[in-house]
Amino acid sequence: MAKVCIKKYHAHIAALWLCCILFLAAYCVDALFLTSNKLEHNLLSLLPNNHHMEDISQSISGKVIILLKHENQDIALNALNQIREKIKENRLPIIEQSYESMAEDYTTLFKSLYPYRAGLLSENDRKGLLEGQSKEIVEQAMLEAINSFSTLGPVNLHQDPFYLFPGYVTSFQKDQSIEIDENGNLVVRHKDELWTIFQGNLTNSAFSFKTQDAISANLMPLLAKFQHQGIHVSTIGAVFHALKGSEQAKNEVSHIGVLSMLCIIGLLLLVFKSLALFRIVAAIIISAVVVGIACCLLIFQQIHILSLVFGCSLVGVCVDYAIHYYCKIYGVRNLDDRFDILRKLTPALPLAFLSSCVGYLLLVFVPFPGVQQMAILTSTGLLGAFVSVYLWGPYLVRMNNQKLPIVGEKINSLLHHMINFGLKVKLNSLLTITMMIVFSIGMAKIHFEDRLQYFQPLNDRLKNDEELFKSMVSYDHSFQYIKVQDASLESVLQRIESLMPDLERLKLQNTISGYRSIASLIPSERRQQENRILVKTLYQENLQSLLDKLNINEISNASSFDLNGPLLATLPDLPEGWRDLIQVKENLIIAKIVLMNVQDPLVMVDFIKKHPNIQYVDPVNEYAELFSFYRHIITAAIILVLGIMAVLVSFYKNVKMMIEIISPIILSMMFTIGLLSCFGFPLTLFHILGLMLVQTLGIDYALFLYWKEKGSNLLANALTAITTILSFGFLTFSSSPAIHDFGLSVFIGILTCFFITTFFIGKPMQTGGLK
Amino acid sequence: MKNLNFVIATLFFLCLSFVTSPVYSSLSHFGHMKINEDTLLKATFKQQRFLQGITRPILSNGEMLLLGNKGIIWETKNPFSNRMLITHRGVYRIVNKKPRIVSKTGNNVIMSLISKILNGSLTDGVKAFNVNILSRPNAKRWKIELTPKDKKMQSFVNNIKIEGVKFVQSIVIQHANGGKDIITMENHAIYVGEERDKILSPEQERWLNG
Repeated sequence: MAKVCIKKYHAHIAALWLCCILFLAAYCVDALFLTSNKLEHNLLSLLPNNHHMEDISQSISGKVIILLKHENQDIALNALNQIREKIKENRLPIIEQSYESMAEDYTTLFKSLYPYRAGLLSENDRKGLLEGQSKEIVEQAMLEAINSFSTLGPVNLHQDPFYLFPGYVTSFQKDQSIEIDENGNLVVRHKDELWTIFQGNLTNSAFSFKTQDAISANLMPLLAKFQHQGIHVSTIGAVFHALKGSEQAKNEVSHIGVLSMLCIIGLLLLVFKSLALFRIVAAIIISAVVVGIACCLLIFQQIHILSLVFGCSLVGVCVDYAIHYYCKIYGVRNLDDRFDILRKLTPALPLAFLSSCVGYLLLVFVPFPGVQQMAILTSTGLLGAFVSVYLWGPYLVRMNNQKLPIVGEKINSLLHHMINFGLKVKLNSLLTITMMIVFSIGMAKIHFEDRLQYFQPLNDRLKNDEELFKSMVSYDHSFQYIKVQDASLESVLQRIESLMPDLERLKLQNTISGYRSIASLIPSERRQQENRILVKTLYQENLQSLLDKLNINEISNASSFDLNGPLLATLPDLPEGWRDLIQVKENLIIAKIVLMNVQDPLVMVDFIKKHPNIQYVDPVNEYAELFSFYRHIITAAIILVLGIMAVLVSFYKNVKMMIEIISPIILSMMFTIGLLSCFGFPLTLFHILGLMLVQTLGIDYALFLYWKEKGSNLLANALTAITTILSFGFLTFSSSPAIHDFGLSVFIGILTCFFITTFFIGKPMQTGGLK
Repeated sequence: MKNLNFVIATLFFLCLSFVTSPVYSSLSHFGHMKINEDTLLKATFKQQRFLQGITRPILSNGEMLLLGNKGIIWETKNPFSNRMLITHRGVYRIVNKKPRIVSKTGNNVIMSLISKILNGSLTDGVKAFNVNILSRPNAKRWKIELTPKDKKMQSFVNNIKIEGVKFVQSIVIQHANGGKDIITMENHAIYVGEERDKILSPEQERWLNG
């Protein structure tokens, strides 16, 4: 009764579905392009909410440094001004870090610290006073007093006769390489050549595609023009690395994409000699993409551009549904029964859809916002495609009582010959043994790769630029740090100070080249008290002799030395470079001790063990752990989908049938892993992602073969395999490791899976289809 | 804080360079002498430092060696001995006969100025100052006042007055904090060739040549 009802109202339901799709399409266009901008561009928003990732994002993405050199310095200066104008004109997300603003920030800071000077000592002065070696401090003070080439500032015998505060201030000026020219521009002299420096900070993340696009479209052509004019240009900053990486990936994917699309269209035209297939292909893909994006936007309120692109690519596999549908229209006896093909596709198509949908939906449990978006987009997209096949298929394609076109027929006949040949020579056993051997050898050699450096190899030219800059100035680009947190500023500072002796030892052992913490600038109140005692002793023991030597007897007001004033108990306004060393989050004071050039991370791990309640953070390593975790999750998802599929088929048929359907898929995935390992490829997350696609499509091949009609054509599976290889397998040629790994895994997996399922399940007597 | 060092160093250079460099065209009638690259100027100096709130000045004296376009060795002899080396690379203190960098850059506007002055380009170098000629035209004794244009520099130095005849004889630096340095230079002597080599030790020459 229900079936009759559905048949009767099928056309109405199909029309209603069309209205739904049109409505959802309008919603997507509006949400993404018109009234609201729900398209997310920042790459880091794909990652889980992790403070360390935010930290690394802020620290590494911030800097933009451009070095300019020309024999004629005026030309380099002109280029610098053009960069400034370009940033201003095009409102690029870069703020120049000018000498004036830096100097002003530091002036404000040190002015605010001056009243507390008795508690502020440079590390050298403190060390000298602790060791009772005040002679050098006294000598330096005498020199400053008489010398017109004073190195520590104005003579201030009334308030700071030993120049301790200027000593403290200048101790923070580590790098003296960068100079300022008469116009306030930053310059650096290196090997008798003068380089002009543009230094700025990004106002947006370097991993934001919007930032990258803005810089790529405006700044990069200008820099290219400079190089053409003979100006030597060097660029330093994460944004330039990100730009290079994404440019390369975009170019490759678009070239490979265009090539594969042309190949697929050519192949389908060659096989069917008709454009009718493209009608159902277009309808199914559009409905899948629209439903997927709309559901994603409704659930997440926004969608990341990468989730959109990658999700749409995965949804693209629903083109297989159209191919399966279209291959069934040939040789139909009753042309009037437009629902005949749907019957032929059942239960293979619903089961195939179910397995793919569940597989993709499982990814929703992966704690990555980007992956969750992709999971929803893909699974709901497949649902949209599946509904469209059942509702629109009968109206979009006319049935045909003719045989397949000649090319299709030849492929079909070739596949049948292949199956018969396989049966004669007992190919199944031979293939199974071979694959198990390859897998075993591969498992002996298997190794995994999760390091960020592997997936994102740095551009050689940019690396050289960075090395050049490092050789010019003390430019430490460090990501590793120790995290110290507590309820009050005083306790955080005291804990950092307690770590300092051990950090100094690490410096002496060359485990680190240095460290930077807020406690170097702002000592704890306890440390300030200690410093004051040292300073008081210095005054008591040496002030009179200093004055005698200078022949001065007029300083008598000891209160002007501010030795007993209030202690500095709150943080002043910190300049750039210090601000990110301390922050308040949820009533906690969190401080970072940035470690320079960590040579041996294991030593740092031991260091942390000795000091409880602090945390060693290595964001680059955390990325590797994240990739590893993600790899394990996807592997688990693959196993889970196979398990679900096994239960479904066992429930629908029996265990024997289940083994026959599942085993070729498992074998081909094992063979893929084995072969990759045999050839020395380290197994990565992207290989596993490729295997997930292989599994999804492999299940489809197996199901459609198993439930094929007696004497029906095998063309659909062959075409879907070839189109998949053309779409994804071509990515093997990418030079981006992640894309290459994904493509290679899909290429080997799909090829193997297609042949194995054809040999194993394609046997004429082993069909479960409708009679 | 280091800026002051360079302000003063610059001012010294500036003053002393009036005898070494081509100057503003309006100053060109001054009868100062240009010191070429291989020429050494030796002079003695006396310095009085007036500090705010302290009535008696701090006195010091010593000797100055200026090698054209290279740099200066400023040697204080009293109240205690100390040697400073000032070149376009920076300011050094001579410790155990070796220059120890005191400041390589600091205020780089000044460093650039020094560099230009050392290279004989005073016109460019003095761009950072307003120059006021205090002496009468064609007077044998000339006197100028330099006022920093830059606000940062103004926060260290109010003005500098230089006077001389053939050589710079007096420099008065009025500090922004109320202090004042009066440097008087005497006994100027020029040395070239072998005479220069007798005065300037190989070690000193090495320091100046970097």
